[in-house]
Amino acid sequence: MTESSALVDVIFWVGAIAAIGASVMVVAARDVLKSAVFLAASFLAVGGIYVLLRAEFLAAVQVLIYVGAVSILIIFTIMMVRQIAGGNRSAGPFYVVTGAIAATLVSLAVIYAAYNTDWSDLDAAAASDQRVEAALTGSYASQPAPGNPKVDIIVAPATAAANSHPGVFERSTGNLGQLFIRDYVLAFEIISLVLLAALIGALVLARERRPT
Amino acid sequence: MGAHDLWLLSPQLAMAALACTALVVDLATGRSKLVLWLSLIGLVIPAALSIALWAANPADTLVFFGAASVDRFSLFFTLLFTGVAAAVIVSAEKYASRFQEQRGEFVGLILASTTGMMLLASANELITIYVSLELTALPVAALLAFLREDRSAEAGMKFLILSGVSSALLLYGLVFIFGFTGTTRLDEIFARIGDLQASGGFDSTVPFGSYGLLLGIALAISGFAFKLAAAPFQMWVPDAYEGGPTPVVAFLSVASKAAGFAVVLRILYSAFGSPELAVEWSALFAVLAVVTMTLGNLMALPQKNVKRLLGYSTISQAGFMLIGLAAVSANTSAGSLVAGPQSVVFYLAGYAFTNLAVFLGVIAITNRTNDNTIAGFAGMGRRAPVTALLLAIGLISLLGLPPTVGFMSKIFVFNAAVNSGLAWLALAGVLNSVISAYYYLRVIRAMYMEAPTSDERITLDPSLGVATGIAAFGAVLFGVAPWFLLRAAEIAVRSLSGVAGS
Repeated sequence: MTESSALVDVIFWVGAIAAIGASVMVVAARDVLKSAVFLAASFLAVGGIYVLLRAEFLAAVQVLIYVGAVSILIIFTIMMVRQIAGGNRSAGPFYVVTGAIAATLVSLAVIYAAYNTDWSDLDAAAASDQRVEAALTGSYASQPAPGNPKVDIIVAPATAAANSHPGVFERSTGNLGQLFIRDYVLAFEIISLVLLAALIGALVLARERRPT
Repeated sequence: MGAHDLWLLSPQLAMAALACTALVVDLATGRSKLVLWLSLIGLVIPAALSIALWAANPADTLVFFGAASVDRFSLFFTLLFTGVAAAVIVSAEKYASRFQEQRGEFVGLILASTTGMMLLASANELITIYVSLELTALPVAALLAFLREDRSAEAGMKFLILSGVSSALLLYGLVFIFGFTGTTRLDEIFARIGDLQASGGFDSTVPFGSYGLLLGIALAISGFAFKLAAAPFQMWVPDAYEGGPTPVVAFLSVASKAAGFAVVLRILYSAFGSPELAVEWSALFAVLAVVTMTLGNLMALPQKNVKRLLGYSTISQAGFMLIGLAAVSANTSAGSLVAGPQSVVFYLAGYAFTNLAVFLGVIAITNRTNDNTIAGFAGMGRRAPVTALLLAIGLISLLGLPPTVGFMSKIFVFNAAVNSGLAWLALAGVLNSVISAYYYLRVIRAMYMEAPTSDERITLDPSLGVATGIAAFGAVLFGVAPWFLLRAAEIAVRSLSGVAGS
């Protein structure tokens, strides 16, 4: 194991543990305001993982929108609605125990499945490591992704010729933009309708009742 | 992408445009009656476009880089949703007086949700499926809370939260499927799984050939089970049905369920239609079908509130439809069996007529009496003879007695199950039909055998009467002469890629 892949490991584990720990605290904290702050911390940790995956644009969006806007909005809302700032109603022991058992079982199933599955194109763990290492040290080359010539992928120099796995994106911002207005344009446009419907639904329910 | 894509997706685009038009006209004029009738007339456009596309039957059905597939399967549902939306808007005309000033928004949200359902029926790519699903669910959550009283708010809140949880489960499942196959397009997932099976990438000792795929499909099905109102994700149904405005509940129980089944059918056959996988999910749905039917029926027995009763009834009906999902050709040596999916599509269409007749009948009566209990329906055979008759026809069809479409639907579903080697499942279905007779007949008994609480006649509103009449007429017509609808369902199913024999 080279020095930089050890570094990748350290960053990954710090980010992962921070994300999971903060998420647990979101649920466990009694004070809703504390939950909101932990939520922001969790968003931040996930943003760190995005950086590790060489999705810098996504990481920036995560920090700007989720940490910067969504969390602040949640905290503002809590402060305005004083009644819920006081505290969370605690669940009874029955729900805590059954919830914990269910969560453990699901986690075990997910971990077991994750380790016992040949994931698509991710099975070449060594090649993937090399790519991340190359990405971190800057010594990467790019080539069009197989089967998708409009998207460039990063390949480590040693495997540049032979590597056929679509992996880490170079210029993730540009590629993301292309995906938005090409392959996923329909989903992208449907989202605007979803937002319109949500806006109108919220307006109707929030409008003050007129006396009949 | 070009004019061809826009032409193929024109029913959905027309519906989205209609939703926006309804909102703008409401904002500009403030005359809700105008919005209501304008929308009803406007619904002719997406319906006509669907029929035109069905007739044209273009060879290249994929649009927007494979994100959606406008085949006859999707067009069948597009037309169905348009019809249901029309019926719901008509039924809301009188009911909506309880919405105060917000009838225009009501129509706009119904149309927005319908757009989502139409997109869902054609979506051919996981992300598009997820976004379309949100577009169907979000407006419904707001609509359920439209009465703005405690029960209604509770219904909307429960629906919103549980819909969010089920979406999270679904997304988690979709992530596993994407991670395993490396693509979000259903046809590419199908091809990728075929490659893996050919190259020995599947472990035959593991269900679905791989733990990742097993978990992905299980989580995705759990997410969809919420939309279908299938066990074990049915717990939101009774509360939402009892508290929500009745027209919205009718929309939810007919259109939302049909949209859920449409997308599940497409995913199962277009992405996971290979015989090895079909055997696995067939077993899964067989179990789900029995649990859902039985649970819905047993819980319905002690109910006293008609809307709550219909909530449990919709769960048990979902169980019957799941039997059709379990009936796959891979269970038998016969190479081609479209009967399973065909019976589901037929059941959904028949159920739309049946359940609309029931709900519109309930709306017509409760609009006056404001009493949702079964006791409140006592003597309606005398107080509102026409409405009671139409409502009774709907209930008999739900129960599955001839000469109604409910009877035919059950025959076809059970027949498909027997033909695919699941005779025990058909037997469980028959037993459940017998149990369901108790609570459906109880409402009819109250209407015809019990003395009315008052002598006041309940006249039927003309527009609502016409809509209820059409629904009940359809329920009888397709029970006496099901061949036209059965043929349409077969053509629709055969156009779905991955269905055996196509």
